[in-house]
Amino acid sequence: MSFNGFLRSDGRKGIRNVVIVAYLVECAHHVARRIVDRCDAEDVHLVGFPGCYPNQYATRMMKALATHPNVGGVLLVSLGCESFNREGLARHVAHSGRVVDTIVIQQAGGTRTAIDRGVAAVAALKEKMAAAEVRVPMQMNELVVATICGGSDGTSGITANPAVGRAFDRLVAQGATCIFEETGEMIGCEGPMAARAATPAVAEAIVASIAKAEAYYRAMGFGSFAPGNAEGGLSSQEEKSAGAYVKSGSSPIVGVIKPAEIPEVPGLYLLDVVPDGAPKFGFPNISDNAEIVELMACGAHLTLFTTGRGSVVGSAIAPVIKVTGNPDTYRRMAEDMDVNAGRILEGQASLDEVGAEIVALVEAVAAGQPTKSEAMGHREFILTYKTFEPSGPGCFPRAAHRG
Amino acid sequence: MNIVVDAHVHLWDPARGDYGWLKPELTGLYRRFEVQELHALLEPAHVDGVVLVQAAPTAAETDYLLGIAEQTPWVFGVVGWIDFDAENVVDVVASRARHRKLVGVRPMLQDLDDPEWILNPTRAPALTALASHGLVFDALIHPQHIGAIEQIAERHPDLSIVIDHAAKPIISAQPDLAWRDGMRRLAARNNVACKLSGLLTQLVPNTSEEHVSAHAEVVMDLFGPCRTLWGSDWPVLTQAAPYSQWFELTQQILSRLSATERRAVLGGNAARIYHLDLRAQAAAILLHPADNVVVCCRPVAAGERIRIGEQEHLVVLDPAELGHKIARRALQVGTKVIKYGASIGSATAAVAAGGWVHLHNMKSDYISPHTRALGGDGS
Repeated sequence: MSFNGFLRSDGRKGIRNVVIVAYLVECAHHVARRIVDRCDAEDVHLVGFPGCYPNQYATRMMKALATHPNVGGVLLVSLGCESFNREGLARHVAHSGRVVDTIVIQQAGGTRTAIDRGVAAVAALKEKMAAAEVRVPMQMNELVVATICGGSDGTSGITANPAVGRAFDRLVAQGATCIFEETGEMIGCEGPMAARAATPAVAEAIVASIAKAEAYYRAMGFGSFAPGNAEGGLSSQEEKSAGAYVKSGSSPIVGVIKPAEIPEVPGLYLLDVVPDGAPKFGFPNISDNAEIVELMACGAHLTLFTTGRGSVVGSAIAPVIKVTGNPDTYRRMAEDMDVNAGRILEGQASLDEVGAEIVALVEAVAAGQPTKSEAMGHREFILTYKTFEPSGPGCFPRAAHRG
Repeated sequence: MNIVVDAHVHLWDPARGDYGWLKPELTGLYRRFEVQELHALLEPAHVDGVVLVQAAPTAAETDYLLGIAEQTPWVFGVVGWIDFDAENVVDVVASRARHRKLVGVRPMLQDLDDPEWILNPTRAPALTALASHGLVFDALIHPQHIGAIEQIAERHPDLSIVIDHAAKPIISAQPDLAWRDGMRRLAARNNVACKLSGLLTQLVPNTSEEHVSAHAEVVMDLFGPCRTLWGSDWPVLTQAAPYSQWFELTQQILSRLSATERRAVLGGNAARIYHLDLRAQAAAILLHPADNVVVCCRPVAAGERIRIGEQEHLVVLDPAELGHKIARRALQVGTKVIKYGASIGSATAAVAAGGWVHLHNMKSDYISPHTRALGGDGS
C-alpha cells in the first residue's frame, strides 16, 4: 500500500491536514466553538481542555494532539487567566514546524472581537499551510491504527471484535503500528496476554497494568462481571474480557504505552489508560471519545470502533471507522456504520473476509476517503483530568538513535 | 463436502392466486405449504437445506420465494421464473442474477402447447444471458420435449441445464426404449444434469414400486454420480408417498455408490451446479480451531442439527440463545473451557457434545490480583 500523506517538518506524515482550534479552559469554549462554526470547514476542528487548574497529563495530551501528524495548524483560544501554559504549548507547536496562533480573549477585548480575530487567524493559518503543503508517498509502516469498542452487545465478541483482530494481524504483518487499549475490559486475560509479550519486561508491564486496572475499578465499584453479561451468554470474567481482548489479534505485543507516549517502532501496542496512583479524578475514561483522544495522542491516524448497539461518534483530528457486529444494527443504522461484520452471523462472510475488508477500508480512508462519521461532521472530543507516571524503561521499544 | 441438499422442493400459498394449475380439485395439494412444515421433514432425514423451485409463471411468485429464502438460512437457492418474451429479458436476467439466492430459472415448458417453444430464436438471448450470469436452466419437461432440450444444450454449450424429474416418464413397467434413448442423448451433453426426483408420482397406481427403482437406475447409469442431483419434489411427492419413503427408497438406490459418490448426488452436485452458498446455514461460529465450544449465531433448538464451518455437524441438546455457548466436544468435570483459543474457565459438571455451556456447568478460574495479593485462592 502506498498513498500520499502530508509531510510535517518533524518528519511525521499525516493522512489529513486539519487546523485545530483549541480552547484552554471551559471559559474559552464558546469563543472557540463560534470560530469553528463560522469557518464551517471540514478541516477546522474544535478541541480543548475545560479545567482551570493545572494538570500535567492534560498538558502532555494537548502537546501531543497539537502536533498530531494529521494536524497542520493550531489556533489556541485562551481566556487569559487560566493556568494552562499557553506560551509553552504554542512554542511546542511552532517547534514542530506547524503554524500556530493564539487568541487571548481578555486581551482581544471580549467575545465578538475574539471570534472575529479567530476566524481571520484560521484563514491565515490555512493560507500558510497551503503554501507549505508537501505531499509525499506514505507506506503502511508509517501508519498508526487504533481500536476501541463501545455500545457492545452479544455479537461484539463473536463478530466485530475478532474481525478487527484479523485486520490487526494483517496490518501488523504489513508493518503498521496498531494500538489496542482498555485494560479494565481485559481483566482475566493477563495470562494469555503476557504470553504474547515480545520481552519479559513487556510481559511484566502487561500484568502490572491489568492489576492496576482491577484495583482501580474495584475502588470505583465497577468492573466486575455483571448479570447482563450472563444473559448475553458470557459465563466468566475471563470470557467477557476475552471478547474485548480478541480485537488485538494474535501478533506479539511489543510494548505497553501510556497516553501521549508515541510508539517509535511498528508493531502491536497495549495502551494503558488507567491512571497511576490512588484513584483521584473518577472513572479512568468517562466515555468512548476520551479513549479515542488518548489513542490519537499516541499518534493514531485513525481508529477502528467496534459497536453492537450502534455508536454514532466520530472524532476531531483522526477519522473513525465504525464496525458493527450486529446485522440488525447495521440495517437500522447503515448511514453511520462503515463495516457490517454482522454478515458473519448470517453466514455471508467469514471473519477473515471481514478482516480483509477492514484492511481495505483502512487503506482507502488513509488515502483520503471519508468515513461515514467524518462525512456527517462528527468531530467529538473530550479531555479531562488524569494522573500518569511516565512508562518505565523496557515497557516499549525505542527507535535506534536518530541523527 | 458432507452436506445434504434437497435440490427440488416447493412452497406455496393458493391464496396468492397465480398458480393456474393448482386447483381445489387437487385435494392434498390445495393448501398452504410453509417452511416450518418442510423443516420438520428435513430434520429427521438429516437434510441440511433445499433448493426452492417456482410453481407459478409469474415474477411475483419469484419475489415471494426469494422473500422466503432471505428469511430462511437453509433455503440455499431459488429457481425462479422469468418472462422469456419480455422485451428487456436480458436486463431482467441481469437484475435477477444480482440476488445471491436466485440460482436458476424455469419456464413451465410442460404446460406449453408447442413442444418446441423454447427453440424459437427470439428466446435465445434469454438463454445466452442465463449462461453468462451462471444461472441454471431448469427443464420441466415430458419425454416429448427431450429433442428440443437436446438442441438447446447444443446451441448453448455454456448454459447449465438440469432436467427435472428425469423428464417425467409415465412409469407402469420397465423403462421404455424411447425415454431411455432420449435420456441417453441428453446425458451425452456435458452441460446437462438430471434430478433424481418426482418419480414416485409418475408411477401408475397399483403398479410395482420396483419400476421406479428401474427408472432411477437408468438415470444413475446415464448421468453418473457427478451429474445426478437428488431431490424430493415435495409437496407434490405427498400425492404418492411421504417424504421419508422417497428418502429411504433413494438411499437404497444410492447404496451401490461409493461414499464420495453418494455425497455428490445428495448435495455436492447441487452445490456445484447451482453455485449454492452453503455458508448461509451456519447456526454457530467456531472462533478458534482449538475451541471446545462454539457460539450460537442465532437461537438454536434442542434436537436441531447444526453445521459449523464446512465439515462439522453438531446435534444441539439444549436450546440456546444468540451469543451462548454449545459444547463442541464432551467436557468432563474440570475440563478447561476453550474459547478464542484460550481458557475462559472450567466445567463444574459433565457436558455432552451439543450441551449448553453456561453458569450451571462451568465456572471462572480467574483469581484477581487483589485476591492473589491477599493469599486467597479465589474460591
